[in-house]
Amino acid sequence: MNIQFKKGILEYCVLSLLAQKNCYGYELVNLISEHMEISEGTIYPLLRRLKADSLVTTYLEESSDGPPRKYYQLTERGIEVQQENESQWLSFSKSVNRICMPKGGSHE
Amino acid sequence: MNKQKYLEALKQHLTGLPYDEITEILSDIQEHFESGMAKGRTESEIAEALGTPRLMALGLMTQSGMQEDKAKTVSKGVSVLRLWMIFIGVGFTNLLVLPLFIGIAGVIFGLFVTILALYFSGGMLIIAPVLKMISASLVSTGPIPVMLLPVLGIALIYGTRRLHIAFNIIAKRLFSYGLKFTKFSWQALGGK
Repeated sequence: MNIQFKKGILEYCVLSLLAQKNCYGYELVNLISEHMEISEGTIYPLLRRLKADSLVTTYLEESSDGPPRKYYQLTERGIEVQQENESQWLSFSKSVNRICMPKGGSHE
Repeated sequence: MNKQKYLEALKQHLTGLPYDEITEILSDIQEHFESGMAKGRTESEIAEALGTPRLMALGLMTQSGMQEDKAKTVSKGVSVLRLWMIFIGVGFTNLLVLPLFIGIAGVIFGLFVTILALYFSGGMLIIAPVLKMISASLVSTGPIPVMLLPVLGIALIYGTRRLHIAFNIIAKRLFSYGLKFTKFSWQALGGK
């Protein structure tokens, strides 16, 4: 997949996963790399930026199998941005599909 | 590459960032390694999936570099003198443009009322024969036969409709220019 495209979408994916539940870094990386091929290292700069922009906060929590983990949690602003991104993505992807797929729409 | 080597290399590449930021990043990555190993992956597998330390550092540096740039533009982007010049310039332009806008708005309003009046006349012409039947003194047509009036009325409404459409286009355009100008003035004066 195109790198620039993936970068923009990655932020939306991370915000959406965090909207479902609070995650620690490795968990997020895993949830995403299950479905898309990413360089796992790209998540960490993204998480730092989201934190600097106050879209997420972090807290430490003990884990059963290792050292304490840093969990990421959406802030109120993070929730707003996630919802905004979601509606933008839905209308954007709908338009792209309408343009790129001929009438009837299904690619076999 | 094992965990130790990866973290050392990353630290090297992060030189220049604030000390506490480097510490935080290294502990995040350390945690990543440990979580991965707890899931049964080897250190070198994890390191490979993370991408090279250089690339990772580049990503982290540009993120925090971008923030610095943003902060700089905000804090010293506009000098006080420049702000004053913009204020005076926009104020002066507003002084010239405002009366023009008021004038144009007046013309638009006048046209709007005219269009309403024309529609009304058309309607009255159409129902003129009915009115005449109700009371002959209500309608005086002069030499024109009364049954011709509805035809004239329809023609008038049709013509007015044309005028109305043209009016809508012009009014909309003027309105959007006005909006753009107001926005521009607002932004130039430091609003967002």
